[in-house]
Amino acid sequence: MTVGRIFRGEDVDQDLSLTCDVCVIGSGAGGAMLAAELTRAGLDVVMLEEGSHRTRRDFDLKEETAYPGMYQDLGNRTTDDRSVSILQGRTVGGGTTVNWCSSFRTPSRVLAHWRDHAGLSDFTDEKLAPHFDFIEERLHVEAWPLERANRNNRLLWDGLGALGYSRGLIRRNVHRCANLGYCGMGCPIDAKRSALVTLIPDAVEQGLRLYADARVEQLEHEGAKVRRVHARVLDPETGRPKGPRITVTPKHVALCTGALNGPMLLLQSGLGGGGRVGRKTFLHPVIVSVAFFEEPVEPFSGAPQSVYSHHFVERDAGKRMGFFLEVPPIHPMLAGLAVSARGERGQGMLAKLPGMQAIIALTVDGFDPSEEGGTVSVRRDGRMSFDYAFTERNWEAFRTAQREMAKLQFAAGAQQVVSLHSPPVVLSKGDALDPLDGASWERLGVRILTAHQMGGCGMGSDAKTSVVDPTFRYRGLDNLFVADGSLMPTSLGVNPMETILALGRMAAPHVKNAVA
Amino acid sequence: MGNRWTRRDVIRRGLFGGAILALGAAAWRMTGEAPSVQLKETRHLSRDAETAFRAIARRVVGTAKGFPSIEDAKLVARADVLVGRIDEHTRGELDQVLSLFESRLASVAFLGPFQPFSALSPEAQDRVLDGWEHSRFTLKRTGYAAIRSLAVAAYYSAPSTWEAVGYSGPPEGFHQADAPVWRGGSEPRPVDDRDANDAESVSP
Repeated sequence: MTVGRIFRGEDVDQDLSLTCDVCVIGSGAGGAMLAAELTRAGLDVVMLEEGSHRTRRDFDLKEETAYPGMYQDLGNRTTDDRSVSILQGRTVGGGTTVNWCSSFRTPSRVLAHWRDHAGLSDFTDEKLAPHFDFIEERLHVEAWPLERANRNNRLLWDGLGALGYSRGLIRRNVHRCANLGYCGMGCPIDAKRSALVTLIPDAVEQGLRLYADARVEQLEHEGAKVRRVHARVLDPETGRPKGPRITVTPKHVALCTGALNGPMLLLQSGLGGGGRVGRKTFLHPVIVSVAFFEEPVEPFSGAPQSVYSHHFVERDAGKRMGFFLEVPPIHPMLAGLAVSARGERGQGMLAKLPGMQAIIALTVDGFDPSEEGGTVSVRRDGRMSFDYAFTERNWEAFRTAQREMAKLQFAAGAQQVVSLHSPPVVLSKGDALDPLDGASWERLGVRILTAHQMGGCGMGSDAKTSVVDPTFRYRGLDNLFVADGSLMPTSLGVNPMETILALGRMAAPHVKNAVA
Repeated sequence: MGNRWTRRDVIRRGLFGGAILALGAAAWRMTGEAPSVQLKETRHLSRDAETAFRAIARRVVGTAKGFPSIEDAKLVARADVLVGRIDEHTRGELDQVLSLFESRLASVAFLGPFQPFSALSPEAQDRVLDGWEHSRFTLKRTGYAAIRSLAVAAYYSAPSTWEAVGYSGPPEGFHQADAPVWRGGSEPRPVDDRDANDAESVSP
């Protein structure tokens, strides 16, 4: 067996020309799984990853290191108008290296929607179960008992119980976790079983050649084939091109760079999918409710997410947008960014960080045909443009979620609840919640976030409405596959890691057969 | 900056497509020491932009008792390192908008007051910032949001602020700066005992 290697930007001082069976672009959940499967089958695979190869040696548990080093746009990617903050991984292992370990299978109702509306007949619980079994075994997805939940999560649990809302415990892909709470900054002890420490080394051991710090800038295509993949080598310290180029001449290409970046690369390469590439991008748009408790919460400590509620995930049989509830970890820099108050008022809120608790409501977008979601396009200067079309459906879900989160926090014993509007709505125990409805419900009037990006290269059986066909092939080219979150026709209503891993595994036989 | 910018360009394109989280430590990782203080503190902002940013950051972050000053937190230097990492186009936008705050000509048509922002009283500065934060013009709202993010992130990522916010810092004893890294090649893959199927976890 040929053992592969991980190359970094500092290893490449001159132009490289490579050939291979499959060039996988992107090392996140989809790409890592696909590469592991293809190399296991004996294929020669080259992987190009824009982010750096950072490992536990680099994970110093500091926000100032993690966000600029391992997230897109130094941790502050946003929509064009800055109304939505986008947290998206940019490192070997992709989002799996920096996510909060929450592991969910694709819900049955989502699979049913995809079968019914996108013609994806293979997406059944029965057919996906073996993939999830493998994923959960390989990534060590385990139960996280309530007694190990930190106080930030426990208060959500208590609030849900007090109001009689359904609640559950999140399974996590960890092994011998030390319960530190810094999953979003990389696990310093490799307890988080991300793709970085599982599937990527599996693939390397099976012959994968992975080039980190390599940003693919174009897919050169002619006729019905991608002929070459063109990449620039980046300086890992500055993130800027350092000169050398990598040119790969593959038999097949698998695009696994995720939503936003994947469609962007296709568009930059002149592959617009008949105007469909980059459209219908969904985000689980998030709003936040912050609460203050008398006793310490220390939201910066302990496993970030261990409690969830799907009580509101389906509302009025789909007539209203649903949302699910979890909690986020809160460290000082993110707390400072989230709080809209300025000057001493802002400092006053930050001084209460140890008593701060937060709930996030992740809205479930993309299930109504009227929703356009987000659109990726290319600006005249070549940079990415990304905008999200909020509708009354989104705003209604936000307003409802904001009230429900406040109710939960007061039910759990909060003294004060603060929204992230500008100006914020500040409620004390016993106050009516009506002021939340009258808050500034408009772009830039309330902090909106996303940590899950889905769609933009929607998969489906109808050539008129999909970018990728049910065999994971980009329509119009014979040797270009897509295997990442951009395939999703809708959002999910759960954290997407397991679904994206499953997509990578489902794509593998199609790519293998194409090479054969 | 090399481009001819009209106000219309800046409004149309939006501001700061990425990259406004502060990163003083990155510079220090590279040099091993804090950047030396000069008359002009930044490398990547023009003089006017730096002057405006310092004044804005002071109002945005605050001067509450018990919190370090922006000077003590080396906020401007930390922000400058980040600014140096963003793409040239976005950096140009940032510099131009910050410079607007100090421009006497622009202040008439754009900001209102007849003085550079840095020369205004704190109360007047707060009024200007309120105007930007709640403006009906996208340019002003996005400009404020971006500048605020830069200032706040630079400030609260500084360890000198952690005591004031009750944050004990990263837990010690877990990060190993000399942890081995396997990159394949001729080196055999080390055994990862976390791949074993035991269900024990380290107690918190």
